[in-house]
Amino acid sequence: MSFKEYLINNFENILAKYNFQNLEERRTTFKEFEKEGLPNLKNEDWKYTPINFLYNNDFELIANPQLDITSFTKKKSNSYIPENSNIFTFCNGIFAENESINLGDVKLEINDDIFNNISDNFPDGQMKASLNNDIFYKINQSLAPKSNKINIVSNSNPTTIILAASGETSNSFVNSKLHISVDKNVETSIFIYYLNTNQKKVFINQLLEFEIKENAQVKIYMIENDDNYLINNISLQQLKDSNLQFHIFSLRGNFIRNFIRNSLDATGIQSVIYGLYLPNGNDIIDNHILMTHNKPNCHSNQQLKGIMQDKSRGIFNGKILVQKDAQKTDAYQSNKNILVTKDASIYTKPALEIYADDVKCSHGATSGFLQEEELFYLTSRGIGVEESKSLLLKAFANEIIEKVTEENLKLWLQKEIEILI
Amino acid sequence: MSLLKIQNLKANINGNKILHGINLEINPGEVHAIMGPNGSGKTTLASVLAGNKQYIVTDGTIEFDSKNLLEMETEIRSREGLFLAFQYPVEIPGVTNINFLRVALNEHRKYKGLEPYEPAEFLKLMREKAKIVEIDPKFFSRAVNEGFSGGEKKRNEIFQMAMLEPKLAILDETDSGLDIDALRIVADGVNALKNKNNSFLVITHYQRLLNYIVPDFVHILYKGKIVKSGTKELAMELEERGYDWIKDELS
Repeated sequence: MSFKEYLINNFENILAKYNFQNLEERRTTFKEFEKEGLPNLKNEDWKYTPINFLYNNDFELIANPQLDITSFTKKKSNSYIPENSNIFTFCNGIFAENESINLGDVKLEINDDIFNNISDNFPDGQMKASLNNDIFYKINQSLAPKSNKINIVSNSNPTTIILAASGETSNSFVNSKLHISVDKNVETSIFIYYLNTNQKKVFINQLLEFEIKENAQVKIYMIENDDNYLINNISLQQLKDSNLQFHIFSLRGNFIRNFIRNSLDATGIQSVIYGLYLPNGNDIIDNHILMTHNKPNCHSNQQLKGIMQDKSRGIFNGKILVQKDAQKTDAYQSNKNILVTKDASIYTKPALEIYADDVKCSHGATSGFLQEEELFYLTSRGIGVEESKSLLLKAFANEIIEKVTEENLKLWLQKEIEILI
Repeated sequence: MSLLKIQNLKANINGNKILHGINLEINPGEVHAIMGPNGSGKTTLASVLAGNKQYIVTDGTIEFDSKNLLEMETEIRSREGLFLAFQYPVEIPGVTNINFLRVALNEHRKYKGLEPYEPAEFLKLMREKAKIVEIDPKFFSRAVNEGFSGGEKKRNEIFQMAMLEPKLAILDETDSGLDIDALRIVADGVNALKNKNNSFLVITHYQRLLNYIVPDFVHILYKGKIVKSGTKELAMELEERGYDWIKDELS
């Protein structure tokens, strides 16, 4: 049975079993999925991102999880969690109160209102369409159990979000929806982890929304560091004079697809995305970015780097879209890649689409093997070949790690990189 | 016993024959200069000695400190005491000088069965050696050669040489692109490191550098062969009469 057949055959049972609400909307959305099916390589957005892991389905949708506390505690302790952090844990899309700590900076709201989406506010048609046409977004909208909302209202403590997936005896398929809003003038850091606490495989289909309000100063550290199959649809909206640093580290994972859509909807916004992806084995890691400038005088910058080892594959597809009102836009994008072996691959496609006439935009992409001249230089000083390669790769990765201002996280990342490279 | 003994060395790059049978012997404590016009094979010789795999050795032998150099990987040659100061030192973004040298020196020490340096001890050593080529310790935390001027890169090569203390240092056109002050600093550095046990092979196009680093022997390389050997007077003569003199003499 294919994944599609599994979902179609079980859709009504799932709705009934878990007592999902908004049935009519869910059914309407699901019909669209039924009609279109899973994306294939003919779909431009999935051209280089094969989802072979779904051809023969062995996942089961589970929305009433029993969190395996032993496994959860172990994985949590292997993650970097800052001191004095609020912790919000969700297991299979459902809030896990026992594993959460609210120090009073955060308001939590859980309801059935899953069809109220931040993308409804996106002023730009292309942006909306990009999300609304995403099949996994539709699946998420049909099958996410709850609408979880976190509202960060003060800037005293960081917030850690743990999106755990559990499943007892089967490979579990998880749909999860989380909306995070940061209030006006709040300065905060948010740490996000995806943990597999199942003994078996998990496939997480995540919808994450961020609403960064006026003059909020936000750092998001997204750390993908577990053996998941992860589809991560990330919608962001930034308001006037807000400042966002979005760090995304894809360290481990069998399959990761991040699609970051950021809508800069007012003036004076700063938005930076730093990304590092390190697939090995047969991993596939895909980063799609759509950065939309809708208003004047905003600055955006995307810097992503990848190191592809073994037979792994990296995909980068990033676009800066500058609407005609967005004069004096200052937007940059860079994607640099190193292939460690001849069996590794990278598909990179930077793009600009500009409708305003007074803007500064640039983009660039590089990919290649380690430079023979650099390796020769290092070995000529007595450093062995493997050690030389490792030095060069770590230096390459370090440029992105250095952007992290949280010193302890930086050290934690460097330790992880030591293991991975 | 000689430190380096090259016999009938022939080498190619990309199918082009560059070296046509080089013979050269260097004893401990000696400074040899190799001079020659552009394209004579000077850099090829340096690259073959350092183990650059782009160059294919087709014939001949090289003994280094009584061992077969051609059988050694590049890093082993370095650990055995061979050093090449590059004509065009490579920039290595993201790798700091201090980290680079610490890894390199500790690999050398491991090879000799010694413990790695303590961080403080290592830093002290770096500071001492930096003085020799007038390198500011601020350089230590900068990426290797990144954004360095031509002169700074060459000084950094000599600094690395000072740190690694090789038995044989090959200076490949270290004088090219240096102004007179930088040239003096580099030459003074080399002279300060010279002793009766180590040897230098100075490869240069011009005689200028040899006013500062005085060679015991001068060899003229032309079309992949050493066509004339002599003492430092040969370099003077070459400076005066130009390479055409050699070409005419040979034709």
